[in-house]
Amino acid sequence: MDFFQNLAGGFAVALSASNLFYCAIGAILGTAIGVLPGLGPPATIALLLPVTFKMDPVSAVIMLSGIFYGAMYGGSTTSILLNIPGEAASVVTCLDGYKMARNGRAGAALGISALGSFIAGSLALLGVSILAPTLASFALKFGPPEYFCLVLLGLMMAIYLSEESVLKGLMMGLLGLLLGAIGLDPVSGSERFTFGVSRLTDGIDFVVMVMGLFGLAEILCNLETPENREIFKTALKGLLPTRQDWRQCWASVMRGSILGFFIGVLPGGGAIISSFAAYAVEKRLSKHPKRFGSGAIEGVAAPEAANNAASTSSFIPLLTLGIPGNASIAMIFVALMIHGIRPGPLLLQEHPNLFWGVIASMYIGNVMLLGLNLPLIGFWVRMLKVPYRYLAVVVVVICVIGAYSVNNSTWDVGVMVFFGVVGYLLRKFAFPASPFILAMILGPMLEKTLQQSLIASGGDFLTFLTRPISASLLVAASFLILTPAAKQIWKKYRSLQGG
Amino acid sequence: MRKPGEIIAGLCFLAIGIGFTVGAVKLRIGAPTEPQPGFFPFWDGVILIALSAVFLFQAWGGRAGESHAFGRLGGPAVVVLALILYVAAMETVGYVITTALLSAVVLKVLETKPRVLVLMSLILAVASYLIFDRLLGVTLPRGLLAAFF
Repeated sequence: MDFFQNLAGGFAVALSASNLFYCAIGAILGTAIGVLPGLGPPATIALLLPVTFKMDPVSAVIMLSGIFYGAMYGGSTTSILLNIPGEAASVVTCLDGYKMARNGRAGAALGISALGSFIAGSLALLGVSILAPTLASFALKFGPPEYFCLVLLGLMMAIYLSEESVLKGLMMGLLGLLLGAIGLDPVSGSERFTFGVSRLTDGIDFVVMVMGLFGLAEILCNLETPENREIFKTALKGLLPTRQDWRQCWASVMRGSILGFFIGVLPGGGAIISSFAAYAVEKRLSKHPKRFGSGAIEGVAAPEAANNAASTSSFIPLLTLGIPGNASIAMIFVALMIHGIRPGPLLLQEHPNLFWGVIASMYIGNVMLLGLNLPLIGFWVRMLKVPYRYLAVVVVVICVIGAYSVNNSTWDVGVMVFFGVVGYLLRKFAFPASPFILAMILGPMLEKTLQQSLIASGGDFLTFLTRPISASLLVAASFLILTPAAKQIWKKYRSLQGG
Repeated sequence: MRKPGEIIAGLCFLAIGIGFTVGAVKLRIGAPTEPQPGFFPFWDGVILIALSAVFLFQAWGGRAGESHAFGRLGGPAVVVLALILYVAAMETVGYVITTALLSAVVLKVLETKPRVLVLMSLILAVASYLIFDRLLGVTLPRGLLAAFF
């Protein structure tokens, strides 16, 4: 009963005129950046953060989350029509989606990805509404040692699941922890690593840094090669999948949704991995695995469902534990903090309007996205014909203004440019940016809970191992980091024996 | 294959690790019973130094994993240089002029036709000024054109 009451309250919040407006803005912007290759959700959310400073926090989060899940819808369009994933989470959609378009079935591919996304998004929301309150009340029992281990596990997962090597992920994570230490010490409040620069007293501005790392860096990478884009010209007819299509792939949509939901809950999981996992599962379960890669509709339906379900369920760790699992969710974390709202187990009790309002807005957003995507597909395709140079120059100018507007100072523009160059180089050497961002955000919490645990236990590190919850979390975290290392050593051992 | 870029990247991480560790010692580390402000950064720094060493070792043997080849570096380099000059000149010269020039550089790098380039840079600079300064209340520096705005 409580559940329906809460949800009804949420809908009352989300259906207010202004929140509907922000939800629509978020969904439209999200679809647009999902369609356009070269600007991802984290950068867009960072660019829009300064705009939300003066907004009501509920509206702000509704709009920013709309960008995040809207991008998942839009990302598939470019994958199918251009063989260019607009979003990393749509990479796998290229495999069969583009082939379907080549076979003259672009309409069906676009249709199934939008409908599959819609079904998955709705199912995942149901999951969030049920699972989140339970998890939040469980997390209320956590003390500092449990929280320390939980944050550590979250970080380790983000590192383990990042595509690049675990070693590089760990290095980036530690770099994030160190840069996060710049500014005021969260425990004693004394200044650290500011080198006498007064601008650094508050630490490195997160919003400015992300604009550089994700926004400017992306543009710099694309400046290396002149644009070369070819839109696959096809008559878009029959957007609705046929009955035969449905029979072929309804089970894939369901499997993709469920798999995506559970992968999304894991910190560091998120949309990208879930889409790859869903594709792999479908290929393995299929009676005709050879069809995959040459235009199998299940190969579009499952990953698209999975990435949507995952992007929705990745709100669970944020809203219940206060731990963002990926870079986009980290931006929403920052938006909440700027408004003085601390995400965590207490969020549900202290700000039920925000929690249920955002959840309800996602239901509404999903309906809006279906309406935006299917009938308007011709419009999004036409938008792709705008040359990249115009997009690039606009993004550069918005990055500059965005950075400047945070404190009205050119110092922040300089910091943004600095991190733009850093982000560009990190991409080139394949150092993952997500662990860095998450570590920087979670660093203060990690430090605080570590110190509190140690002080409470009289400096005894065993306190993490004697409490059952923290011990199991810690074991899981070490397992994640030690497995790849053990694998490498084992391989070496075998090759030495063999040779 | 050993890549010099990876060695340099590893050395950068190593230097950052050493820098923060030394800084943390100066802040005082304290004991686990009484951790001081340097406690947490000190251990982060120590672990980063160790991992950077492992990375350097791997990179030396050419086993540091994947990295992407650099394309034509001219484009990014010119734009970064333009951005540095932009930051230096924005306050005194003003937003509209510097932004028009910056946009022109970006468009030039992306091989835009001269006429489109001039038109687009001017429109973008003036339009963004009007939208953000006049409509959204971000006070952008006026600089040399202060008399006209």
